[in-house]
Amino acid sequence: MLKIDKNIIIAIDSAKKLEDLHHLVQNAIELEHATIPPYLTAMFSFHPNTNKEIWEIINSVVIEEMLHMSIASNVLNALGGKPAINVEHFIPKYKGHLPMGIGGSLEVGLEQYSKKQVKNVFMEIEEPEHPIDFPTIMSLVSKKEETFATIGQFYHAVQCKIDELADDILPGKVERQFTTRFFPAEELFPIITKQDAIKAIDIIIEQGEGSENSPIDPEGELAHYYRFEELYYGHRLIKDATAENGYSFTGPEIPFDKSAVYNLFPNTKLAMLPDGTEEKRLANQFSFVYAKLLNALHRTFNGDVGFFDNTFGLMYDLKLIANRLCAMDFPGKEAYKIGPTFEYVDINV
Amino acid sequence: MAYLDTPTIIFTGDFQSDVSTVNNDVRHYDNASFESRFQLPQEGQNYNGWWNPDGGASFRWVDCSVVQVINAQGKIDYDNSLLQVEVSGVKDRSSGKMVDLDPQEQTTSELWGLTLQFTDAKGNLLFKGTLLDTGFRDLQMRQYPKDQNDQNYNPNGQPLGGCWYTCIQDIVWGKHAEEHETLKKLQSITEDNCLSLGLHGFGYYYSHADGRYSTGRTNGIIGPWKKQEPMRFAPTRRLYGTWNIFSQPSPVSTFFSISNFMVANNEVTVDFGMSYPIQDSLGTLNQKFAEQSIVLGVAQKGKTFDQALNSKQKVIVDPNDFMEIGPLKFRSPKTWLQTTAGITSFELNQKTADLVKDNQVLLLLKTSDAYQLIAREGVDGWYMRADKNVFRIDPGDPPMSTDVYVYQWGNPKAGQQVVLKPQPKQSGNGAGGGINQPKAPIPDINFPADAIYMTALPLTDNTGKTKVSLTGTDPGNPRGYIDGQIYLINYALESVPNLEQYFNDLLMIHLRDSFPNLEHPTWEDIKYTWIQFGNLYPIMSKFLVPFDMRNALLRHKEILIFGLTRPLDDPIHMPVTRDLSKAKRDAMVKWLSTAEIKEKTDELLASTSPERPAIDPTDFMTAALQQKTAISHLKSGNQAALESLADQLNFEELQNLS
Repeated sequence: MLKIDKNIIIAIDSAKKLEDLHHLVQNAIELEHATIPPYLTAMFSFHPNTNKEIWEIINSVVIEEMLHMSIASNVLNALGGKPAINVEHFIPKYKGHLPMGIGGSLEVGLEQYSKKQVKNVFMEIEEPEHPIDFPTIMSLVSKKEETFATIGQFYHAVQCKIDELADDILPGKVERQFTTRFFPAEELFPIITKQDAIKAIDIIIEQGEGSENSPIDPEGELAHYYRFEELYYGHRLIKDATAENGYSFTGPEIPFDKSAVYNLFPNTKLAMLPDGTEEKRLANQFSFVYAKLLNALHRTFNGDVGFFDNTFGLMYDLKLIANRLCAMDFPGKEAYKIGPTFEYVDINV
Repeated sequence: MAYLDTPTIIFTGDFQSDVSTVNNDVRHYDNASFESRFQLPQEGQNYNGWWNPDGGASFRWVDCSVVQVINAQGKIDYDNSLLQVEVSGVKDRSSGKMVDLDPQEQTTSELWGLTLQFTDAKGNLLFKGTLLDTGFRDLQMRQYPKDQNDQNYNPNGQPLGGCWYTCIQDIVWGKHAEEHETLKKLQSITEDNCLSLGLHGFGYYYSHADGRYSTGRTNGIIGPWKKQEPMRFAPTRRLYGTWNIFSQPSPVSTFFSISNFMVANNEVTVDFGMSYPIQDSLGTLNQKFAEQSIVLGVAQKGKTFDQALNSKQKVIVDPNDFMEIGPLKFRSPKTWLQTTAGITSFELNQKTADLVKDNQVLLLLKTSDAYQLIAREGVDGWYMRADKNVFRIDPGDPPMSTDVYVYQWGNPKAGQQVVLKPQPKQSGNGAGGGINQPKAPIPDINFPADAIYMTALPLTDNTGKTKVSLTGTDPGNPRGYIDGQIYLINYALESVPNLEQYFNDLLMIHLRDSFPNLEHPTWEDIKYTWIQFGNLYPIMSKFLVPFDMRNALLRHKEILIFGLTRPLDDPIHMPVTRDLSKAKRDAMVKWLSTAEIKEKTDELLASTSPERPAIDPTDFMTAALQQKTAISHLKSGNQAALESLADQLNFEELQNLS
């Protein structure tokens, strides 16, 4: 279970006015974003049109992380804050710790897809406050130690503080609230009242963790942790009347073709690539487009909500470049391919 | 005079054009004979899907910055505050796209949705705007071997270069623009919040060499724009090359094939950045010229230089027939183009100033005992050009039009009759060479002639302008496996039978086949087109949606509709929109909107299409459906022929230069 710096919870608890929560919700936006590059890196590491079932499971989590990032931005706007997306430090250092020290000693890196990465990073990131222990075909699960604060608790604390401090109608401008036809209206909606804020944060918690008694979130989908657990065990989680908690990982196999994964050099950095090479140019372009995407999201979350449509083109560009990059031999590193360089680059060189 | 007018801002750097190449060969449009190898890169003499089948169509500025500023008085300002300012596209949208009209007309690749932005060293926006769509013109050979033994002059595989002329529109001026006198001046004198842009492109890499694959060099020249000027070319005067050393002279392989120039501020300013022969892909001046003296001159009154263009013959000019204006000077042949874009001014004296008003300007190679003519202005100084040269017409569309401008000695010429000359039915371009060629036939073009209708043009007005109107009726699917027909129309000046023109100054039209307005289109109605695009744009099928799978398309219908309905100048538009008629696009959108996913698993719907994955790919950004319109960069339909010309260089004559 991810640990969280107690000072964060204390900071939330000691907030005297809504402005005191701004930087904490900004941290939440950064946290939701921080999970996306590791997931995308795993997806980009698949050869084209291979491991599609795994790809789609990770993809489904990425979409919801983007949703959570949007919700957190709406919350910050509703509290009268201004999300800051287009700055270099918005992107965490990989390999490194998650924002706010969440995860304690957990270091998150950008690596190719592997069950080890799923187990040691993805499942750690998404682990619920009280994970439910479902039997597996191999009965591999061992009980985890109980620890204290989680991402869920962080969000609960924010909810409580908003409930305590805010008037019914939140101070942010309604026109800064972001919605789009590409996310369901019941999941991404304008946050105008504090009840809206509490409801929106519930969506983040439940999609990430499920509920205490069920792996299914209110939208009827598996919470993130259990989707990754499916990948780790290689089988779908299905209802099972014979199992103690009503589910078991005894569903259809999720095939994994290990040979169709590019051997990405972990945490590839631009500085690792020789100047003047096609590889360096392409990696730089990846980072530049990534920075453009953050700029576009910044604009979207800062009052120009219609600008969101333009992010689709950038996401497509990013994917296209990444697919090429990950198929390229890493100069000077035998047997390795180049991983996506999630760094903020302001100039296309 | 648009981009050559002052004040002038010059930037240089690279561009990247990630063109798609499966659609370079018209025969790849034939679903029935399509082979999966057409989606693979070229292997030796087997062209397959040519050199970049997975291209994404993006056109990006790379590492561009301001290198020179010429002030309003026409003098270089070496301390200008804009020097080193970063030039890029806007930083929160996709880059622009490069798009050909059709596989059978690829000689004027257009830039769509390209933006341009100046940013100072502190990251402050100075200004940004969007380029009016425009196709490249004035294609010419740029890279020549420096000597008999030079095997390295063309490491990139594309020795040609071209120019785009356009306007930067809808300019947003940043508050920090106020800190730059040149920008303030430009803002105050330019009209309609629009700036003129001339753009050179050369040294484009087909090859994976020098770390520069799919990139090329570019020089940009920005000047003020006036309402009475054309938007897609500059109303300059022109020098046309006269000397060709190829065994088969060709307009594109003439030294200094075309150079724009203007006369103002008691100077002649020539754009050599579009024409100076170079000896590598980066713009090093070719030593055969750089090591000799090149001079600009002007014909004496009563003297006319009407030597044939593109000739192999050396023409020696009598010194009594012209006056020398001055020598072409540069500091370093290696860096000159990168630091000046080749924009060069020659001061006039009283006599030459008087002569240039209505006499031919000449470019000459000065040897110890003679002057050899290498370029000359057209006889009587005529310059006529259609502003817009690329048209996509659907049957029944309201008339599409373009202005055509006529100038003489740089001045608008009223009362001139422009005439249109449709080309006759002929064999079409758009087929690659090599071995193991596609089996589909290459369609003829320019027929049926009566499907395109043009009205007679009125005489030019006081701004030298007249207007062409074009409409079309259903051509009746004359090319079979590919939509519509290509029409090429020459235009001429009635009173000037031997008018000098860029060889490819044409109106280029893709007239689309009619397509029924179906209330409920079925898969059968539109599947040929989906499958065709799946074949032509492997990047979509590989990473987004397999276009030949009905259910997969419907699963992604929201984003497909989103992409299909974006305007053409939006870089997120679907690639298919390049080739699609409005009616066909509407039918595809309607089908996506109304059809239901069938329970059964997707089946391979095209027996002749490439192998498909068993599961349809989805994407976290199926969303992103944009672009990847196939474009080809500087790729002419006659490319193979041009390259073969390059191989026929007559080295002996080249050596004689020195």
